[in-house]
Amino acid sequence: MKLKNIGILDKRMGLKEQKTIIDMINGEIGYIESFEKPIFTCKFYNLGMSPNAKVTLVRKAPFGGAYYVKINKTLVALRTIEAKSIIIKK
Amino acid sequence: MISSPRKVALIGNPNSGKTSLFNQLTGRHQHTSNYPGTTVNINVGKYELENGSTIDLIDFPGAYSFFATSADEKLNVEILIDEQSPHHPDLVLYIADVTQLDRHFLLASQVIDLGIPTVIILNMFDLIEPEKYDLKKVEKLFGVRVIPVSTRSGLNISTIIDTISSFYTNGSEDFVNDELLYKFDTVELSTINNTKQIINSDNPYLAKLISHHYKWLPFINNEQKANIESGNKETGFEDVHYQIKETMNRYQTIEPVLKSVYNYKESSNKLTDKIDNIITHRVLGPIIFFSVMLFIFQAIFSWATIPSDWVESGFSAISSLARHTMGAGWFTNLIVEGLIPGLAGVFVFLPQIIMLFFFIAILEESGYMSRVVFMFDTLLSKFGLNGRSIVSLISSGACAIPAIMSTRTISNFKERLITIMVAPLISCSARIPVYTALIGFVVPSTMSFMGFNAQGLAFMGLYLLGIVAALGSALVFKFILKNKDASYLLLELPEYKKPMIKNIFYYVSTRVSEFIKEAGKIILIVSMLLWFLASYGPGDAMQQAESQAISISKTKQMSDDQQDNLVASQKIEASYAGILGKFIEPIVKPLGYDWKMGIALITSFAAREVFVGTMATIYSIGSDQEDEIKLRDRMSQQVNPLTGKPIYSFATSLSLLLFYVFALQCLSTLAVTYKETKSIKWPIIQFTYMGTMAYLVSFIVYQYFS
Repeated sequence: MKLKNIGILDKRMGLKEQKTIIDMINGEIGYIESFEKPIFTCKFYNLGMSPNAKVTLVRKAPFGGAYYVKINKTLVALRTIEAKSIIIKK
Repeated sequence: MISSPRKVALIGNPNSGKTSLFNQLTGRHQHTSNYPGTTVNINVGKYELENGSTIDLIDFPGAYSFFATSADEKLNVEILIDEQSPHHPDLVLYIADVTQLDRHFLLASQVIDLGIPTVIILNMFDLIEPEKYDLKKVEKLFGVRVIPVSTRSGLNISTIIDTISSFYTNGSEDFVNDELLYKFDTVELSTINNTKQIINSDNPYLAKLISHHYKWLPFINNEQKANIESGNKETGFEDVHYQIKETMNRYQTIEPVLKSVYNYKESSNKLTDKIDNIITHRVLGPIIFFSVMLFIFQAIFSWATIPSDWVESGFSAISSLARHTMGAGWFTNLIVEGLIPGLAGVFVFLPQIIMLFFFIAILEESGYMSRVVFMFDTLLSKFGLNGRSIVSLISSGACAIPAIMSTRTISNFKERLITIMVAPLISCSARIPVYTALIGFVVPSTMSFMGFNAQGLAFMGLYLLGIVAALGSALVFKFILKNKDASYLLLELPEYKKPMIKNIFYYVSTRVSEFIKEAGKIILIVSMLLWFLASYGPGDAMQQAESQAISISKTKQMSDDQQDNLVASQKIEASYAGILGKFIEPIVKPLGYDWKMGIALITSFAAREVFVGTMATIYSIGSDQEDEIKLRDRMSQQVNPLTGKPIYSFATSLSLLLFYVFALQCLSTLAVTYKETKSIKWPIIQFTYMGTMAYLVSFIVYQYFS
C-alpha cells in the first residue's frame, strides 16, 4: 500500500505542471498557491481559502465523488471541478 | 431614519448561531412572512424593550458575502440596498462565529461600508479564553461596537438588548464607521460616479454594489439598467474581476488584524474528526445513512399511527356533535360533510409530518445532514440534482410542500427546478392510506418472503418505486433543460454539536405551519367543492335516486343503517360527481377501473387522502367512519355483474395502486410549484408528466396481468 502511494505521488508530481487538490492523497497537507477559475474565486474566499492557507485533504467521498477538505480549521466539501481549480504549492 | 415599526436585522454566515439567537430573543413571538416578489420566507419576531416599545427582529437567511448566487443570499443584498424595502433595517446585529477567524467578517465589513448602523456580535465566546481576546482591536478595525456573546451559555444576551435600546435612544453615532474599509481604485471611482447619478444616491459603496447587481435588482428600472450597463462598459468595470478584487482586498485588510487578536490553536475539534472518520467512510458512510433512514421511517410508521387515530376519532366526534347541535339543512351538511372532513384531512397527517421533520431537524442541527449532502453530491449530480437536493427528497417523504420550499438553498436554477419537479414522486404521507387500503388486494397479509412480512416488503417496494421514478425523471429533465448558470457544491461542514431543543422546535413548527397554510387552504376549499359535487345532481336526479333507494330497502327489509348507506351510495351515483365518474369511465377502463373508481380518482386529484373517504361513501359503508379494514372487506365483495369475477382483482388493484404512486394528485403541490417557480408552465408540466407516467404504467400493468 505504502509503496504504491509513493509511486503515484511521484508520478503525479513529476508529470503535471501544476498540482491541485485532486492530486493530493488522503491526509496530505499542502498550502494554497492560487486559484484557477475566477468564477469560484470569491466563493473560495468566502469559505476561508486564500493563497498561503494551509489545506488538508481529509478524504474523498464514497461513490468516487466530492473532496472533504480542511482549510485551517474550516471543513469544506468540494466538487471535483472546484477542487481542480485550487492550485497547491509544490 | 428610524422607521416605525422599528426593525433590527440579524445577519451573518450560515452556522454562525444567528437563528439560535433569533429564537432566544423572540421566543414564541415570531411568524414567517413572505418577502414580496420572491419566494423566500423571512422569519420576523417581536421583541419588547423595557420602555414598552416593540421592535421587529428580522432573521435574514445566512450569507457569506454580497457577491452571492442563491436566492437566499441575494435577498440579503436586495433588502440592505433598497431603503424602501419593508424589511430594510434601522440596525444590523451582525453575528460572527469567533472561532472561525476572518471568513465571517467579510460580509460584516461590507454591511458596515454600506453605512447601515451595525453592532458586531461575536458568538461562541464560551469556546475560547476571553481574557486573551483583544476586543479593542476588532472595534478599531471595523469602527463599530463589538459584543462577545454565547447563545449556548447565555453570556451577554442582555447586553445585546441594552445596546439595541441605546441605539434607539441615543442615535446611531457609535454604530456607524466614518471611514470605508475598502478603498476604491480609479475605475471603480468613475463607475461609482456614473451609477450614483443614475440611481440618485450619495452612498459610494451602495453605488458600487448596484453597478455589480443591477441586472437582477427588482427596483432598478430598464432605463437605469441600460444606463448603468453602458456606464460600466465605458469605464471598463468588469463584474467578476471587481468582485474578486474587492473580496481579496477585504481579506488582505482583515486577515492580519484578526490573526493578531487571538492566538488560535491549530487543532480543530478532535471529536468532529473522529466522528467523520466513520460517518464519511467510503463504505460505512452510506450504510450508516441508509440505516438511519430506515430507522426513521420505521419509527414513524409504528409511532405515528396512534396519534393519527386520535385525530381521526377526534374529528369524528366533532362531526357527530355538529350534526346533533345544528339542525338539518344544507349548511349543516356543508359543515359536517365538507368542512370537517376537509379539516380532518389536513390534521390527520400532522403526527407523521411532525415526526419526520423532528428527525430531519436533529440531523440538520447536529451537522450530520451536511455530511449526507457531501456523500451524495456526486451521485445526485449525475441525475441533474445537487447534493443539497437530498434534504428536499427526504422531506418529501412527509409532504412535498415544505420540501419544495426548502429548495431555495440550491443556487443553480436548473438543479433547483429539477428537484422541485421530481420531489412529489417520493411517496408522501397522504399516499399511505391509499396504499393501506389497496395493498391487501395485491399481496395477501399472510404471505411472507424470506422471513419478512410480504405486505411490509411491498410497502417498501412502493417507496422504492417512487425514488427510482424520481431519479429517472430527474435524468430526463437533465437532458431536456438547458443550464445557464454555474452549479456549486462548496459546502461548509460545521462541527458536530448537540442539537438545541428550541431550534428543533422552531425548525419543525416553521415547516408544519407551511404545510397547514399552503395545503390547508386548498384542501379545505376543495373538500367543500367536492361535497357540493357529491351532494347535488342535475334536476331532481338526487330525489329520484333517494326514493328509489328507499323503495329497494323496504323491499329487502333493510335496517335503518343499511338504508342510509344505500341511499348515500345511490345518491352519489346520481350526483355531479357520479356523472363525471361515468364520463371518464371510457378513459379509465383500459386501466381496469370502473366509474366508481373514476369518482374516487377525480376527488383524489385535489388531495390523495380523499380517496378513502370517497370510496367509503361509494361503497355504502358510511363516510363518517373511514375504516380501511371495513372498506377492504366491502371492496373484496364487489363483483362484476357480467363476468361474475371480483372487481378488485389483482390486475385492477395493482394498476390502481401504481397509479397513486406516480400521479400528481395534490392541488397544493401544484400551487407551491407555481409560487416557487413564478410561472404557470412548470406546474402544468409537472402535472402532465406525472399523470402520463401514471397512466402508462397502470395501463401496461393492467393489460399484462389481466
